[in-house]
Amino acid sequence: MFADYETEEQQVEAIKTWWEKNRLPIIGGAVLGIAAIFGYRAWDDSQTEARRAAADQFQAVAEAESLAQMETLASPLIAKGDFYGAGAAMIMAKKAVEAEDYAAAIGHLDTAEAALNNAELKPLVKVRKARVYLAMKDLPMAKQALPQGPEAYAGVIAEIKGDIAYAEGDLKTAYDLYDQALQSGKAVVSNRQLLTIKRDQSQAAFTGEQ
Amino acid sequence: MLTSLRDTIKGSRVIGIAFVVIIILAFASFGLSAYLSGGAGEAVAKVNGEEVDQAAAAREYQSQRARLQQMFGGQIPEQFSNTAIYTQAVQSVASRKVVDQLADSLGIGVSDSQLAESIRSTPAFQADGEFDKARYDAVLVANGLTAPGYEAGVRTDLRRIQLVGVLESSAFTTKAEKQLIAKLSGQQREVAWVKLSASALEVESPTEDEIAAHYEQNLSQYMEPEAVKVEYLRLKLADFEAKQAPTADEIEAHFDQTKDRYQTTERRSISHILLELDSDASDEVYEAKREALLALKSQLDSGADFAELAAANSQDVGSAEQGGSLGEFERGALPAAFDEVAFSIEAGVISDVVRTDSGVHLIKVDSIQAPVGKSFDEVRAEVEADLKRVNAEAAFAELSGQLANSAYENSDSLGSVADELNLSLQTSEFFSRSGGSDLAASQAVRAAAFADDVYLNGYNSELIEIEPNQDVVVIRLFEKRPESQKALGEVKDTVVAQLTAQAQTEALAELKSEALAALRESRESMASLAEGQWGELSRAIAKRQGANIDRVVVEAAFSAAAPADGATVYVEAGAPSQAYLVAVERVIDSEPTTAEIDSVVFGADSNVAIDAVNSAASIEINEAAIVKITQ
Repeated sequence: MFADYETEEQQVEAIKTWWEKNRLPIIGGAVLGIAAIFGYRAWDDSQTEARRAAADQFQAVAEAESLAQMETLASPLIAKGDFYGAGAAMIMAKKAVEAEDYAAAIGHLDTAEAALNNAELKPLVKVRKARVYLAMKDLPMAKQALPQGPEAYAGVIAEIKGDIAYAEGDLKTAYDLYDQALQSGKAVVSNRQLLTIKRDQSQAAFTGEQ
Repeated sequence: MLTSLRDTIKGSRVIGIAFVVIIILAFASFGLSAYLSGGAGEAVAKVNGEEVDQAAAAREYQSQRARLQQMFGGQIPEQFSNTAIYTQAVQSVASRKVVDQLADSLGIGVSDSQLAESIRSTPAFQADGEFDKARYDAVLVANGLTAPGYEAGVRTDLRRIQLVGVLESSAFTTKAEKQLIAKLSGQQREVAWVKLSASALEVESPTEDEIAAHYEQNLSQYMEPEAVKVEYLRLKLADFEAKQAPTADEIEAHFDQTKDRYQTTERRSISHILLELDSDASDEVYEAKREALLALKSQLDSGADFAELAAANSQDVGSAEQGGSLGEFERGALPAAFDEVAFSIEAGVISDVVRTDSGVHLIKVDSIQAPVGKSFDEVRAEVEADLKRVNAEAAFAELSGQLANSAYENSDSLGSVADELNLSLQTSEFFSRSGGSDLAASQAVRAAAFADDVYLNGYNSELIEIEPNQDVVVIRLFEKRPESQKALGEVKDTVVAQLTAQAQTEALAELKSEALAALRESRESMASLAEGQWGELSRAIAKRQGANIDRVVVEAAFSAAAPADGATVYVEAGAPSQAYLVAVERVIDSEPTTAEIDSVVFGADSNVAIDAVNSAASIEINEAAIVKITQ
């Protein structure tokens, strides 16, 4: 490469010719590249900004003083259907449960379930729905709402199935399910002590006729 | 030079290419080295393929160590190896990262106002309860952090907290759940019970045949463990003390050395007038200064005030302002020549001229605080005892050192050590690994006796401290006695006791099941059982959490079937040696109050979701890298 030219003039000449031939694509490429970098950064900034704005909006929902205010503040978040929307709906569901408005709670949980696109978090919403149906004494819907997994939910699912069986009056099944939840070593809805009480109560009742 | 270089390169294609390659390598490796020295080696863990922050893991490790140290009062027990603690730290950093990644993928953000609020409310950055920017900067610098770096870290933390916070704050407990738990927790049961111990039962004594058969079948239970007899040289501090007989002079000398234990020391307030003088000044100069001081002294003798003269003439500026006063001293605190004079003249007298490295002085003792405390005669006995102890300790330390050395050097014999040090060689009784008397009461001695050096190789032991600095011994194997079978005669009592206990337990089990069947079939009542062998009849209303009655009864009562109205459910409980029969006569349902119902709140089910997220993640812990860091 160095040996191809005799003098510097020849080198300069060669470079000039090369530049004449190639300058358009080079300048074009550079402009495109720079535009892409700035474009990406602007997009990234706007994403970050959007996230930050959503975080502020969500905080306002969580701190809302009345249910009505909460609904007003939450509706734009819910409309977007992201995690904040799901979170807002979940918090509204809690408020509805506290007010014993179970139908509304189910509605909010449905919204949250649709918005939450994560295989590990979605079952949490389903589990909560099943518990609200249980509170409504709608056992078939409670069964239907329960998730199938994943494994970390095994204790919770067994306990709720036990609650359903208990409500159906099938104490033998309830006992087995509560026991299964206790043996699973996984976290449960209530806690181990209360779950043991529920299990023993089922045992006491189903062995009553000896 | 550059021109010739250029020509060479232009002249040869090969050299030119080589030159370019060298330059590329130089730049490339320069870049690489920045990475190699900056990042500390391999990643300790990867979460879903992403490396965890090494510095965060190191910080977590330090704080876990600190926590353990606090928990165990300063010293971390050996079973917590550094590697184990580090692994634990890496695990918790990794599971935080799992949630961080999830928060990121869910599009969770932290607004500037949330970030500012969090930083402003951090106590470490506050002065007088207010956020202090200067303090913030100082704390970051002190921890080797930059503001953007720290703020990015806080944002990450806040995102994680937000995610978990949404799951937690939306958790609820339904009314139905609260009611059920409140009702069950408050339930009470009316119970009656009787109990019986196995040891209270009379059973037939085992026959000779049974005893022999049991012995034959359980020979391994009746072994005399292997034992050793050792010979030993033992030093006890108490023996050394008894041998001490210090003379009266020695006791008095010891009193003088340790006076301050019994007496306060003499203290003197001292003033001086100094005329400075180099230590290598000529005799003429010295004479001149001396004369000047003597002139001052004669003024003082004719009634002039020392303080005024000192203030006017002393070249020790510090003390001159105080009227020459240097303050209070014990003997030995001042330069030797000065000290000697200052502690020999009487109070109020002006000394002759004294020369020190600083110059020439006139010294005056303003006041003397005489020593107070007990006189030698009063504490003589105490001093003598102390001297004996000190001498004994010295002798003990010396001889135990000799013993340790000599026992090591003559590792094949203890007799020669005894001769050399003029000690008497003693022999112990037989003792086993697990216990013995006298010398063998010490666990350290037993351990040494059965250690390979002594037990297998037959060497002298090292110096064993039965009690450090008070009681030490060197042992040597004298005789081994292997494990042996104990004769039936020796262990007959034990065999009889075991067989009897076994028979009692069996009898109790039978009695219990018979009585339970009789109760269930209404052939017996609790009252009729109580009249028989089953002791006193107790009654109570059992509460689940109640401590008023036996837990065995409470647990049996609440895991038993609930009786129908007017019926009674009987259950058994207890251990093989202690049987209970419990009658559940009535279930008293509770009517929980609103407050009781409201107080039922379940543990957040959000833990389950976080568990699920963690188990779905791929966390690779690099154990080799952790071992490398912690070693």
